[in-house]
Amino acid sequence: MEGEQEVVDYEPRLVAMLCNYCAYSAADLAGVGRIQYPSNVRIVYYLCTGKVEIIHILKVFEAGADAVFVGG
Amino acid sequence: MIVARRKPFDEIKGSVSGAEQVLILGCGTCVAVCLAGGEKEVAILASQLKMALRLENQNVRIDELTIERQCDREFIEEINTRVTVDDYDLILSMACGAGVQLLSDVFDHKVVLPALNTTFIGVAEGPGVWTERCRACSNCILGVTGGICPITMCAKGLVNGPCGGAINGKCELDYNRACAWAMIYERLQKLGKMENVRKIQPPRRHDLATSPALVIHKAYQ
Amino acid sequence: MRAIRKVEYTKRLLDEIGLGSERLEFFHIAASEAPMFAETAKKMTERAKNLGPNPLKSDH
Repeated sequence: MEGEQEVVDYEPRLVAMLCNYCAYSAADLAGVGRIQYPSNVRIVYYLCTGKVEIIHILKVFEAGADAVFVGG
Repeated sequence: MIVARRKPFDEIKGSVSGAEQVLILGCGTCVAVCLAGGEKEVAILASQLKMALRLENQNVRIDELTIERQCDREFIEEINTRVTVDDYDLILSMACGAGVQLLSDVFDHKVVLPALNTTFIGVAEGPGVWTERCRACSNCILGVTGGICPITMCAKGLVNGPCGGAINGKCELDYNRACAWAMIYERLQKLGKMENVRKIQPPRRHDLATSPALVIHKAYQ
Repeated sequence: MRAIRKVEYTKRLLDEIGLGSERLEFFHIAASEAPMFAETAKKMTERAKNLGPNPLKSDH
Protein backbone atom coordinates (compact mmCIF):
# COMPACT_ATOMS: atom_id res chain seq x y z
CA MET A 1 0.00 0.00 0.00
CA GLU A 2 2.81 2.46 0.81
CA GLY A 3 4.80 1.91 -2.38
CA GLU A 4 2.21 3.28 -4.77
CA GLN A 5 1.10 6.71 -3.75
CA GLU A 6 0.33 8.14 -7.20
CA VAL A 7 -1.65 5.62 -9.20
CA VAL A 8 -3.58 7.77 -11.63
CA ASP A 9 -4.30 5.19 -14.26
CA TYR A 10 -6.61 2.67 -12.68
CA GLU A 11 -10.17 1.53 -13.12
CA PRO A 12 -12.12 3.07 -10.24
CA ARG A 13 -15.09 1.30 -8.77
CA LEU A 14 -18.06 3.52 -8.12
CA VAL A 15 -21.31 2.93 -6.32
CA ALA A 16 -24.40 4.97 -7.14
CA MET A 17 -27.26 5.03 -4.66
CA LEU A 18 -30.30 5.97 -6.63
CA CYS A 19 -33.91 6.83 -5.89
CA ASN A 20 -36.56 4.86 -7.77
CA TYR A 21 -38.49 7.92 -8.78
CA CYS A 22 -35.75 10.16 -10.12
CA ALA A 23 -32.14 9.11 -10.57
CA TYR A 24 -32.86 5.40 -11.08
CA SER A 25 -35.35 6.25 -13.80
CA ALA A 26 -32.74 8.52 -15.33
CA ALA A 27 -30.23 5.68 -15.29
CA ASP A 28 -32.83 3.40 -16.82
CA LEU A 29 -33.55 5.97 -19.51
CA ALA A 30 -29.84 6.30 -20.19
CA GLY A 31 -29.80 2.57 -20.84
CA VAL A 32 -32.84 2.68 -23.10
CA GLY A 33 -31.51 5.73 -24.95
CA ARG A 34 -28.10 4.04 -25.32
CA ILE A 35 -26.33 6.95 -23.69
CA GLN A 36 -22.77 5.95 -22.86
CA TYR A 37 -21.71 6.11 -19.25
CA PRO A 38 -18.75 4.51 -17.44
CA SER A 39 -19.28 0.80 -16.93
CA ASN A 40 -17.60 0.79 -13.54
CA VAL A 41 -20.62 2.29 -11.83
CA ARG A 42 -22.59 -0.17 -9.73
CA ILE A 43 -26.10 0.87 -8.87
CA VAL A 44 -27.81 0.35 -5.53
CA TYR A 45 -31.52 0.79 -5.86
CA TYR A 46 -33.49 2.63 -3.19
CA LEU A 47 -37.20 3.35 -3.12
CA CYS A 48 -36.23 6.78 -1.85
CA THR A 49 -32.80 8.23 -1.12
CA GLY A 50 -34.24 9.32 2.21
CA LYS A 51 -33.66 5.70 3.24
CA VAL A 52 -29.93 5.87 2.51
CA GLU A 53 -28.34 5.27 5.87
CA ILE A 54 -24.97 6.66 6.91
CA ILE A 55 -23.81 3.15 7.71
CA HIS A 56 -24.67 1.97 4.15
CA ILE A 57 -22.29 4.56 2.70
CA LEU A 58 -19.57 3.76 5.24
CA LYS A 59 -19.85 0.01 4.58
CA VAL A 60 -19.47 0.63 0.85
CA PHE A 61 -16.21 2.48 1.48
CA GLU A 62 -15.12 -0.21 3.91
CA ALA A 63 -15.61 -2.74 1.12
CA GLY A 64 -13.25 -0.75 -1.07
CA ALA A 65 -15.36 1.50 -3.29
CA ASP A 66 -13.37 4.42 -4.72
CA ALA A 67 -16.26 6.88 -4.83
CA VAL A 68 -19.95 6.95 -4.03
CA PHE A 69 -22.67 9.21 -5.29
CA VAL A 70 -26.22 9.52 -4.12
CA GLY A 71 -28.73 10.59 -6.72
CA GLY A 72 -32.19 11.80 -5.96
CA MET B 1 -33.94 12.16 29.08
CA ILE B 2 -30.17 12.35 29.39
CA VAL B 3 -28.60 14.09 26.42
CA ALA B 4 -25.05 13.34 25.32
CA ARG B 5 -22.91 13.89 22.29
CA ARG B 6 -20.10 11.92 20.79
CA LYS B 7 -16.55 12.87 21.66
CA PRO B 8 -14.37 14.16 18.82
CA PHE B 9 -13.35 11.26 16.60
CA ASP B 10 -9.62 11.85 17.05
CA GLU B 11 -10.00 11.65 20.83
CA ILE B 12 -11.82 8.31 20.57
CA LYS B 13 -9.31 6.99 18.05
CA GLY B 14 -6.44 8.02 20.29
CA SER B 15 -7.99 6.32 23.31
CA VAL B 16 -8.33 2.93 21.59
CA SER B 17 -4.98 2.91 19.82
CA GLY B 18 -2.75 0.11 20.95
CA ALA B 19 -5.63 -2.22 21.73
CA GLU B 20 -6.10 -5.34 19.64
CA GLN B 21 -9.68 -6.26 20.44
CA VAL B 22 -12.24 -3.61 21.17
CA LEU B 23 -15.90 -3.95 22.09
CA ILE B 24 -18.07 -0.94 21.33
CA LEU B 25 -21.03 -1.12 23.66
CA GLY B 26 -24.11 0.94 22.90
CA CYS B 27 -26.99 1.85 25.17
CA GLY B 28 -30.53 1.64 23.86
CA THR B 29 -32.17 4.19 26.15
CA CYS B 30 -31.58 7.97 26.39
CA VAL B 31 -28.45 8.20 24.26
CA ALA B 32 -30.09 6.17 21.51
CA VAL B 33 -32.91 8.71 21.33
CA CYS B 34 -30.51 11.67 21.18
CA LEU B 35 -28.61 9.99 18.32
CA ALA B 36 -25.41 9.64 20.31
CA GLY B 37 -24.96 6.04 21.43
CA GLY B 38 -27.64 3.70 20.11
CA GLU B 39 -27.27 0.75 17.76
CA LYS B 40 -26.90 2.93 14.66
CA GLU B 41 -24.28 5.15 16.24
CA VAL B 42 -22.36 2.10 17.45
CA ALA B 43 -22.29 0.79 13.87
CA ILE B 44 -21.12 4.14 12.52
CA LEU B 45 -18.35 4.51 15.09
CA ALA B 46 -17.23 0.91 14.57
CA SER B 47 -17.06 1.38 10.81
CA GLN B 48 -15.21 4.69 11.15
CA LEU B 49 -12.69 3.25 13.59
CA LYS B 50 -12.12 0.16 11.45
CA MET B 51 -11.33 2.28 8.42
CA ALA B 52 -9.26 4.91 10.22
CA LEU B 53 -7.15 2.31 12.03
CA ARG B 54 -6.67 0.28 8.87
CA LEU B 55 -5.36 3.43 7.16
CA GLU B 56 -2.78 3.60 9.95
CA ASN B 57 -1.96 -0.09 9.45
CA GLN B 58 -3.25 -0.99 12.88
CA ASN B 59 -4.84 -4.38 13.06
CA VAL B 60 -7.71 -4.08 15.51
CA ARG B 61 -10.76 -6.28 15.83
CA ILE B 62 -13.80 -4.21 16.63
CA ASP B 63 -17.06 -5.80 17.73
CA GLU B 64 -20.39 -4.15 18.32
CA LEU B 65 -23.08 -4.77 20.90
CA THR B 66 -25.97 -2.67 22.11
CA ILE B 67 -27.86 -3.42 25.30
CA GLU B 68 -31.11 -1.98 26.58
CA ARG B 69 -29.60 0.05 29.41
CA GLN B 70 -26.11 0.44 30.81
CA CYS B 71 -27.29 2.05 34.05
CA ASP B 72 -28.88 -1.17 35.29
CA ARG B 73 -26.97 -4.24 36.52
CA GLU B 74 -29.66 -6.54 35.21
CA PHE B 75 -28.98 -5.47 31.63
CA ILE B 76 -25.20 -5.40 32.04
CA GLU B 77 -25.19 -9.02 33.18
CA GLU B 78 -26.92 -9.87 29.92
CA ILE B 79 -23.68 -8.90 28.10
CA ASN B 80 -22.08 -12.16 29.31
CA THR B 81 -24.72 -14.20 27.52
CA ARG B 82 -23.89 -12.52 24.22
CA VAL B 83 -20.13 -11.99 24.20
CA THR B 84 -17.09 -13.06 26.21
CA VAL B 85 -15.90 -9.85 27.81
CA ASP B 86 -12.48 -11.30 28.60
CA ASP B 87 -11.76 -11.53 24.87
CA TYR B 88 -11.46 -7.77 24.68
CA ASP B 89 -8.63 -5.45 25.67
CA LEU B 90 -11.02 -2.62 26.27
CA ILE B 91 -14.67 -1.70 26.21
CA LEU B 92 -15.66 1.54 24.55
CA SER B 93 -18.95 2.55 26.11
CA MET B 94 -21.38 4.75 24.21
CA ALA B 95 -23.58 5.35 27.27
CA CYS B 96 -23.89 8.37 29.54
CA GLY B 97 -21.47 8.81 32.43
CA ALA B 98 -23.70 6.69 34.66
CA GLY B 99 -23.55 3.79 32.22
CA VAL B 100 -19.78 3.99 31.85
CA GLN B 101 -19.35 3.92 35.64
CA LEU B 102 -21.65 1.00 36.30
CA LEU B 103 -19.99 -0.88 33.47
CA SER B 104 -16.56 -0.39 34.99
CA ASP B 105 -17.95 -1.39 38.41
CA VAL B 106 -19.24 -4.68 37.04
CA PHE B 107 -16.19 -5.37 34.84
CA ASP B 108 -13.64 -3.92 37.24
CA HIS B 109 -10.79 -5.91 35.68
CA LYS B 110 -11.43 -4.32 32.25
CA VAL B 111 -10.56 -0.92 30.87
CA VAL B 112 -13.83 0.88 30.15
CA LEU B 113 -13.58 4.10 28.16
CA PRO B 114 -16.26 6.67 27.40
CA ALA B 115 -17.06 7.56 23.79
CA LEU B 116 -19.58 10.26 24.69
CA ASN B 117 -19.65 13.49 26.63
CA THR B 118 -22.78 13.57 28.80
CA THR B 119 -24.27 17.04 28.66
CA PHE B 120 -27.64 17.49 30.39
CA ILE B 121 -31.17 16.33 31.25
CA GLY B 122 -33.40 17.73 28.57
CA VAL B 123 -36.13 17.36 26.01
CA ALA B 124 -36.27 16.86 22.24
CA GLU B 125 -37.37 20.11 20.60
CA GLY B 126 -37.45 18.74 17.06
CA PRO B 127 -35.36 16.55 14.80
CA GLY B 128 -31.78 16.74 16.05
CA VAL B 129 -32.37 19.51 18.59
CA TRP B 130 -32.35 19.11 22.39
CA THR B 131 -32.54 21.67 25.16
CA GLU B 132 -31.71 21.45 28.83
CA ARG B 133 -34.74 21.47 31.15
CA CYS B 134 -33.68 20.09 34.52
CA ARG B 135 -30.72 20.51 36.84
CA ALA B 136 -31.73 17.64 39.15
CA CYS B 137 -31.71 20.00 42.17
CA SER B 138 -33.74 17.58 44.38
CA ASN B 139 -36.32 20.24 45.31
CA CYS B 140 -38.76 20.83 42.46
CA ILE B 141 -40.55 24.19 42.35
CA LEU B 142 -42.14 23.80 38.91
CA GLY B 143 -45.57 23.79 40.54
CA VAL B 144 -45.09 27.40 41.62
CA THR B 145 -43.36 28.65 38.49
CA GLY B 146 -45.94 27.47 35.98
CA GLY B 147 -43.90 24.54 34.72
CA ILE B 148 -40.82 26.57 33.72
CA CYS B 149 -37.66 25.85 35.67
CA PRO B 150 -35.80 29.01 36.72
CA ILE B 151 -32.93 26.97 38.15
CA THR B 152 -32.18 25.72 34.64
CA MET B 153 -33.50 28.49 32.40
CA CYS B 154 -32.52 31.58 34.43
CA ALA B 155 -28.85 32.42 33.99
CA LYS B 156 -28.68 33.33 37.66
CA GLY B 157 -30.81 30.42 38.89
CA LEU B 158 -33.08 32.77 40.82
CA VAL B 159 -36.10 31.35 42.64
CA ASN B 160 -37.45 34.87 43.22
CA GLY B 161 -37.33 36.71 39.93
CA PRO B 162 -37.09 38.51 37.64
CA CYS B 163 -33.81 40.15 38.53
CA GLY B 164 -34.58 43.46 36.85
CA GLY B 165 -31.94 43.21 34.16
CA ALA B 166 -34.13 41.70 31.46
CA ILE B 167 -34.74 43.77 28.32
CA ASN B 168 -37.76 42.94 26.13
CA GLY B 169 -38.02 39.50 27.67
CA LYS B 170 -34.36 38.71 26.97
CA CYS B 171 -31.66 37.90 29.51
CA GLU B 172 -29.15 40.64 30.32
CA LEU B 173 -26.30 38.15 30.19
CA ASP B 174 -27.17 36.99 26.68
CA TYR B 175 -29.68 38.85 24.57
CA ASN B 176 -30.31 35.78 22.41
CA ARG B 177 -31.62 33.93 25.41
CA ALA B 178 -35.15 34.33 26.79
CA CYS B 179 -35.53 35.56 30.36
CA ALA B 180 -36.87 32.61 32.34
CA TRP B 181 -38.77 34.86 34.69
CA ALA B 182 -40.40 36.76 31.83
CA MET B 183 -41.59 33.40 30.53
CA ILE B 184 -42.81 32.38 33.98
CA TYR B 185 -44.67 35.70 34.35
CA GLU B 186 -46.47 35.17 31.04
CA ARG B 187 -47.27 31.56 31.79
CA LEU B 188 -48.68 32.38 35.23
CA GLN B 189 -50.77 35.16 33.69
CA LYS B 190 -52.21 32.64 31.25
CA LEU B 191 -52.93 30.24 34.10
CA GLY B 192 -54.48 32.97 36.26
CA LYS B 193 -51.97 32.24 39.02
CA MET B 194 -50.31 35.62 39.34
CA GLU B 195 -50.32 35.33 43.12
CA ASN B 196 -47.50 32.79 42.76
CA VAL B 197 -45.11 35.44 41.49
CA ARG B 198 -45.88 37.72 44.43
CA LYS B 199 -45.13 34.98 46.95
CA ILE B 200 -41.57 35.05 48.25
CA GLN B 201 -39.95 31.66 47.83
CA PRO B 202 -37.68 30.36 50.60
CA PRO B 203 -33.99 30.15 49.68
CA ARG B 204 -32.94 27.17 47.61
CA ARG B 205 -32.36 24.00 49.66
CA HIS B 206 -28.82 23.22 48.60
CA ASP B 207 -28.61 20.69 51.42
CA LEU B 208 -31.05 18.43 49.57
CA ALA B 209 -28.81 18.25 46.52
CA THR B 210 -25.97 16.38 48.18
CA SER B 211 -23.28 14.98 45.98
CA PRO B 212 -23.15 12.10 45.40
CA ALA B 213 -26.89 11.82 45.94
CA LEU B 214 -28.56 8.67 47.17
CA VAL B 215 -32.18 7.60 46.86
CA ILE B 216 -33.61 4.63 48.71
CA HIS B 217 -37.26 3.97 48.05
CA LYS B 218 -39.39 4.05 51.21
CA ALA B 219 -40.49 0.49 50.63
CA TYR B 220 -36.86 -0.66 50.70
CA GLN B 221 -35.63 1.22 53.76
CA MET C 1 -34.09 16.77 2.19
CA ARG C 2 -33.09 13.93 4.47
CA ALA C 3 -30.62 12.41 2.01
CA ILE C 4 -28.69 15.66 1.51
CA ARG C 5 -28.31 16.14 5.25
CA LYS C 6 -27.13 12.57 5.74
CA VAL C 7 -24.68 12.81 2.85
CA GLU C 8 -23.27 16.07 4.23
CA TYR C 9 -22.82 14.47 7.64
CA THR C 10 -21.25 11.34 6.13
CA LYS C 11 -18.79 13.54 4.22
CA ARG C 12 -17.65 14.90 7.57
CA LEU C 13 -17.30 11.35 8.93
CA LEU C 14 -15.15 10.44 5.91
CA ASP C 15 -12.90 13.42 6.61
CA GLU C 16 -12.51 12.23 10.21
CA ILE C 17 -11.51 8.77 8.99
CA GLY C 18 -8.99 10.26 6.61
CA LEU C 19 -10.54 8.96 3.40
CA GLY C 20 -11.57 12.44 2.28
CA SER C 21 -15.05 13.79 1.73
CA GLU C 22 -14.48 14.27 -2.01
CA ARG C 23 -15.17 10.60 -2.55
CA LEU C 24 -18.84 11.11 -1.75
CA GLU C 25 -21.30 13.46 -3.40
CA PHE C 26 -25.02 14.10 -3.70
CA PHE C 27 -26.63 14.96 -7.05
CA HIS C 28 -30.09 16.04 -8.06
CA ILE C 29 -31.09 14.01 -11.10
CA ALA C 30 -34.66 14.15 -12.38
CA ALA C 31 -36.26 11.09 -13.95
CA SER C 32 -36.04 12.53 -17.45
CA GLU C 33 -32.41 13.60 -17.21
CA ALA C 34 -30.67 10.54 -18.65
CA PRO C 35 -27.75 12.55 -20.11
CA MET C 36 -27.34 14.21 -16.74
CA PHE C 37 -26.98 10.79 -15.11
CA ALA C 38 -24.34 9.74 -17.62
CA GLU C 39 -22.52 13.02 -17.08
CA THR C 40 -22.62 12.59 -13.30
CA ALA C 41 -21.25 9.07 -13.59
CA LYS C 42 -18.43 10.36 -15.81
CA LYS C 43 -17.71 13.25 -13.47
CA MET C 44 -17.46 11.01 -10.42
CA THR C 45 -15.31 8.48 -12.30
CA GLU C 46 -12.93 11.28 -13.26
CA ARG C 47 -12.83 12.49 -9.71
CA ALA C 48 -12.12 8.98 -8.42
CA LYS C 49 -9.28 8.67 -10.94
CA ASN C 50 -7.78 11.93 -9.75
CA LEU C 51 -8.08 10.90 -6.10
CA GLY C 52 -6.49 7.54 -6.70
CA PRO C 53 -7.75 4.20 -5.43
CA ASN C 54 -9.42 3.76 -2.07
CA PRO C 55 -6.47 3.01 0.25
CA LEU C 56 -8.61 0.45 2.09
CA LYS C 57 -8.85 -1.80 -0.93
CA SER C 58 -7.10 -5.06 -0.17
CA ASP C 59 -5.83 -5.78 -3.69
CA HIS C 60 -3.78 -2.60 -3.87
